[in-house]
Amino acid sequence: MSPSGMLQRSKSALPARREAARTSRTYRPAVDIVERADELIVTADMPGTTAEEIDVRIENGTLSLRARVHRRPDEAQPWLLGEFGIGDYERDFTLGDTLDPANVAADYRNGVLTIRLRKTEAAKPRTIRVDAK
Amino acid sequence: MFLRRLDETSPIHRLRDEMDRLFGEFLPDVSFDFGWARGFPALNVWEDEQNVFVEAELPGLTMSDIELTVLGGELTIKGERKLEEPKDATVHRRERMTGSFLRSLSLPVDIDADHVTAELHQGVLRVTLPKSPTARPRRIEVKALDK
Repeated sequence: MSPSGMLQRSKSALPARREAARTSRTYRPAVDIVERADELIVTADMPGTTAEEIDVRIENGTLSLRARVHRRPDEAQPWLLGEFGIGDYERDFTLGDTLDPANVAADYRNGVLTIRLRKTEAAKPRTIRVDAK
Repeated sequence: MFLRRLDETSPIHRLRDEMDRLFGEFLPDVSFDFGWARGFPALNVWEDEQNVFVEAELPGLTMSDIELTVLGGELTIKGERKLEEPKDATVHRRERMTGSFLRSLSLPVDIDADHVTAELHQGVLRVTLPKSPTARPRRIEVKALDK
């Protein structure tokens, strides 16, 4: 007897989605961007990769995020249900000149990439002392 | 008269056709087979001979933020994502989802509920649900009767 006639039926109804999840398309990670007095913090949801596979780059005023994501499962299996695609991440941001490209830190934890970009000294707010005369 | 009949080539009809085409492509009737509607988190489900695998992307969560239950042939994934609010900050962009979620999935075969395992690795939750012995494919030996 077939292990599950129902599964067989679902598989045959799924060719379009199975394809969609298998192509080598790239995905735009969702991000939050917040600014503080001395830094800009970019937080990106990039599940399923590793720190080694992530490439954070600043070039010509553009911050680019790239990450390789390996296919899951490793071996081709027909989806019983395929609701999200798996592929590399790609996203670019234009940076203002108030940020110091040499002063950037990034960490990856629980599938979330956090990038902290420090502002240039000139762009930080400062208090000017007013002398009474 | 200022009223015009909407003929089949009008933009509104073309839009409707586009929508039909889109939904026809992206919402095949598989969800009715399983008896649930799409929700959060999105799920990928596949199987091998021994197990059914369910995967969901839950970035920023740890296992203690997630509650998994298997009851009466249904897997439920429940949890909440709380995002840290940096202090004294101006928000420029907010795209990441936050809040609580609940998703149930009718399992397509009998599951050995006592041996379900789950792991969370870099924001990817994978639940491994062993099929109960009766649901596994079995090779039946065919004996030759004529001799």
